[in-house]
Amino acid sequence: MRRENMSETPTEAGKEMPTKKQKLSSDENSNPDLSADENDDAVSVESGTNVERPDTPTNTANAPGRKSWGKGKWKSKKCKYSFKCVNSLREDHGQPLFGVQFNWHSKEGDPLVFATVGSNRVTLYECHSQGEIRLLQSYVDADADENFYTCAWTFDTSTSHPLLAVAGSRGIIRVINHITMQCIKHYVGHGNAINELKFHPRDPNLLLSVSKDHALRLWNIQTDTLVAIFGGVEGHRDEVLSADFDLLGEKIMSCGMDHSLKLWTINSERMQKAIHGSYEYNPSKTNRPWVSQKIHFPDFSTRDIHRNYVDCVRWLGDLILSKVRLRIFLFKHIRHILLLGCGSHCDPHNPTPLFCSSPDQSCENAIVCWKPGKMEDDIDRIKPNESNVTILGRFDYSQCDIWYMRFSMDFWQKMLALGNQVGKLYVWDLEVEDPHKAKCTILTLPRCTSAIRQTSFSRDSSILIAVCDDASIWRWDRLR
Amino acid sequence: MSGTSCKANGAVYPASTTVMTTVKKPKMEQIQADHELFLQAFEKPTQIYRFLRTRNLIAPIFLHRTLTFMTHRNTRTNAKRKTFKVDDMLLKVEKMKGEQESHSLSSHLQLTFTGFFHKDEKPSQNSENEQSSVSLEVLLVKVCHKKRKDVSCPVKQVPTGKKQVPLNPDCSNQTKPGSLPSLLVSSNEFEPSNSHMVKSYSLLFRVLRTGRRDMNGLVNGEANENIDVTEVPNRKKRSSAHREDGETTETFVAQMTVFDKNRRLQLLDGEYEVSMQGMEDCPVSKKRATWETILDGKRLPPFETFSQGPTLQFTLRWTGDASDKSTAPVAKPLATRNSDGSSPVESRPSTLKSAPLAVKASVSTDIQMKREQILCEPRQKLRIFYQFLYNNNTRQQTEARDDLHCPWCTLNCRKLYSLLKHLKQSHSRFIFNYVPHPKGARIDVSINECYDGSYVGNPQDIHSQPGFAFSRNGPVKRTAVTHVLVCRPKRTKPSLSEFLESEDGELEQQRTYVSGHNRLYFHSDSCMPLRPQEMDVDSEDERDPEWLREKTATQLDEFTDVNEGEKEVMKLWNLHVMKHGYVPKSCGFIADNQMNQASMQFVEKCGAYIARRNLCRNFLLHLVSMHDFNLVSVATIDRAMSRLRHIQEELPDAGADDQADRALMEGACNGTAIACSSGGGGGTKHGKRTKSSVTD
Repeated sequence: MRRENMSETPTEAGKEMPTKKQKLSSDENSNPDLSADENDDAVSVESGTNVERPDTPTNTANAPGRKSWGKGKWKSKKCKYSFKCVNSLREDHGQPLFGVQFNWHSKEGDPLVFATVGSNRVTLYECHSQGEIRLLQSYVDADADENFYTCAWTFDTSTSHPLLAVAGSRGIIRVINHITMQCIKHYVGHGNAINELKFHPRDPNLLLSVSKDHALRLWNIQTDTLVAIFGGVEGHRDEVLSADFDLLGEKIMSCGMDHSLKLWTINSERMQKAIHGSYEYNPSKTNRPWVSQKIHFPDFSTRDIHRNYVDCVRWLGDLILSKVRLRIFLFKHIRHILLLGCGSHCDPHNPTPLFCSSPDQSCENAIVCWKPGKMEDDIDRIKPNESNVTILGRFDYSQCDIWYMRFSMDFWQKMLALGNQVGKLYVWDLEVEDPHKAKCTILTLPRCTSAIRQTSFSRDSSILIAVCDDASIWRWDRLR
Repeated sequence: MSGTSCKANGAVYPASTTVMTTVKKPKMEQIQADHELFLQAFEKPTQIYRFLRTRNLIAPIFLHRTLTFMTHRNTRTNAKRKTFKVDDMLLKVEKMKGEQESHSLSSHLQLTFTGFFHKDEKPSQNSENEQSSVSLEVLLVKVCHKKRKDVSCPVKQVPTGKKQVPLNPDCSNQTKPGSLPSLLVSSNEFEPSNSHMVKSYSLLFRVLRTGRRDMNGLVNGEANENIDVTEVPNRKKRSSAHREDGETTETFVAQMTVFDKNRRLQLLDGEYEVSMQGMEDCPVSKKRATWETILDGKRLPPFETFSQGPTLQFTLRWTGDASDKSTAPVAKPLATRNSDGSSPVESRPSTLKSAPLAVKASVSTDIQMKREQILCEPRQKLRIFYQFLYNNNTRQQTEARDDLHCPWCTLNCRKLYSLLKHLKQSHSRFIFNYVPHPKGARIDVSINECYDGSYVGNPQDIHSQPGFAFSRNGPVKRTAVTHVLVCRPKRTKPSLSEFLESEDGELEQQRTYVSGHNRLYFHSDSCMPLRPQEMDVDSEDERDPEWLREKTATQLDEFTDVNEGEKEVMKLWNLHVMKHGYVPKSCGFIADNQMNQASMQFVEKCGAYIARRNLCRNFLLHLVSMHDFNLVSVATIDRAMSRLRHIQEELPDAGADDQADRALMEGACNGTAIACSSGGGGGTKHGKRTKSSVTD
């Protein structure tokens, strides 16, 4: 599996930078030397954090630094959530399961349904009381070489049947109606594998797909039109790995192997017209072709958050959570918390970019909470050439060196869950005033030792499902 | 009606798996290995063709009779079309209606009972007590439409008669049909009655078997009595009513639908064997049907019924008038097969086999004759040997068939030529070679290695959404594309020689017949399939795509040593050159000497905007720098500036053309136009020529 390629170094992608960006962001960015520099100390709010950092490649397993502060610190802050593993099962194909998604559109009282994808299978399960997981349906792609990476739920606006969109290595999006047990739609167009699918939070017909072909596409699954392609001149320069709509569905944040995160607004007049047009377009009534919008210029772009593949991004209000694969030759251990001060004390006329203070290593093995521009900046008025980002918080974990590991949040965005490559689950409580103080619970099981690719909360947050590389599914029920 | 077997339909032909059976060879292992090889070669294509055969029976995409080599399957003639008049249709319908009325009055449903079969587990103790016949009562059950007040559908039962039916008659000595008890049901009974709208009609057979010799049932004379029995909706009630006091009476019942609720005739002419159900033993509740695994050797009651009994056998015929012409279609074993030839274990007498097909008076006699001919044709027994070649044609197995049915889809081709043609056209996964044989024909079957299973239809159909092309849920609007519907190639006279193996081994014949333009194109910018009607719109037509326009504008904005006025002129100029540039069409600017012309055009197009924005001096600077690079002559500078001045003078009040300006700018750059009233004059000295955006 390509996803397990751990030794792949991303340096090539890192060097290939757009000229414009080089011009804007000063030289410290392209500094290939990965050791901590002075800037780090200067802006780090927490003192003593640097001491703990094992910053040499030689310092590999079981660094003493971890025990000296990490554990104790976590222990002292008790997370208010706790989970218990109630069931686990294994799919017979033995291939990694890359995606799991609960159907959040199901009616209240209906059994909780979730779907897993992996190999050329899509499997639907139902959760029942006492930890029972009931197999509902399984779909197998006719092509044995297909490898599904991702799935997303929506519903049919006319029949309100739940629909499941799946996609993977072949780059074909399939939409499954599990009530009629049919694949009702398929979309061919991406030039390569699809890494993530997302539905618009307010329009169940708008599907966003994120591909290895360096672009994102927005589809209207009601009229089968391709609304827009995001990518090109200023788009991603490598595989796009993840993307997310914000809560109102006005913006898309995407991230990828080119270390960058890009913001694409879709509430612009142009995009709104395109979305409207896609609903009105009827291919059987006109001979005029449907013209997709080609959006070459993101509304904001940064390479300053991460120094590695960014393989997961989620909006948290106006803030963004993003995650990066660890550079394995550098770190293997829990990193420190780095909370950067907000931009209030920064002189707007003397833009000492805040990202200077987050040198190369600081954001590895951590989910970073950040926002474009300075703290006080309105995200909707961000300029494309804005060079500042504000990092607000980090969620640290360990042993997550491989890429294509996704974190997830519950419906109310109170919890954040991520698995690592040895089967540990980290659950953070996001309901804290200061992201710095996010409390963490680590869920471990001696039997679960395989890499957890994705997690999913049920809508009521009572169940957390994790899927692993060994085709196993783990169900954790929340105790409190 | 699950326990009913229809003999007429039960004439099961030998399954196609007979093709697969191996020829016996001495060594068991060798047979096994050989069989394995044989299966390897022929199993998959055979399965595919079996599937296609079934699908074609259920939902045919074409009819065999329309094929040129199957014309004999077409029984219609177009002779009447010449004399056809629209008015005839009315006459015909009227005539038919009148006919039907008179017809229905006289037609009967005739039931001739062969016997009641019931093998007891324990044979009767006293043989003299053994009875030879049972009493049979036939009732016509009319299930009426439910009215609003009714809880369940009202049921009417009309007794049609009682008969003595022989018990376990010896099948070997065939009794004449005439001596068997028979019953007539007038078709009047099936006419809709006034009182209740009848939903469906069914026959209820009730057999009373007593331990005594003397029967309680009456014999004969009660047929066609229209006695309305009080509505008995409950079966249980019925069963108790027929309990003879003290006597050991067994009652068996069975019910068969004659007309279903759509008024479709369910009981066609034929021989029937009905499994009866004892009233005493509680029947299996149908509501809880379950799947069961059949274990070896285990007796399963439902499957034992027809060997054990109790069953009732009878022949059913729909008779017309006194004459023996049947009015209802005869149930044929399967549409693809005729009832002639190899009929399976047929032990009981049948009056059916020779029954002529329903012939309407309207059908001309010569058609009838033709039909008879066709029926006769396959009787000249033609033996066809299929020789299956596999394992690189080193091994073979032979299989003989006595008819001209296709072994894969059981289609009766009726002629050897048609069979060969059909095999060749419809089963192209194999290669068929015809070899004449003294007893008939030999067909060599081998795997077609050159078979191309890829899609030969319209590629648009693959990319359309699932269920759109070839929808089985009803008509859909399909992509408008040219299909070859009718093709009339030059046809050679049908001759068997075309199926002989060719010496030169030409494989041309294996190629599929696809002609015409049959490609799918894709939009170059989105990789989405191009619909045929979009073919005229060229998606690559743009020479200055939007992104490029935006990119130049942003790139210019990044200069720090160029003032805003200069930037604006540069943007306008770049877009101007880009729009007309690269592709020499009307006035493509590709050479240095075209710059004079380009400058003049630029003034014509953007002059007003430049004048209004007070960018004249910036433009002049641009012309001068072009002159420095020997791109424009002094004369051009002169002309351009005078024209610009002219435009400036002509200019109406500022702001009137604001809209036009905005339009121009929107097309020009990403709207970062900065008002630079001051930049017009003074900024010129900051400009650097090297940053000039002339595209030379």
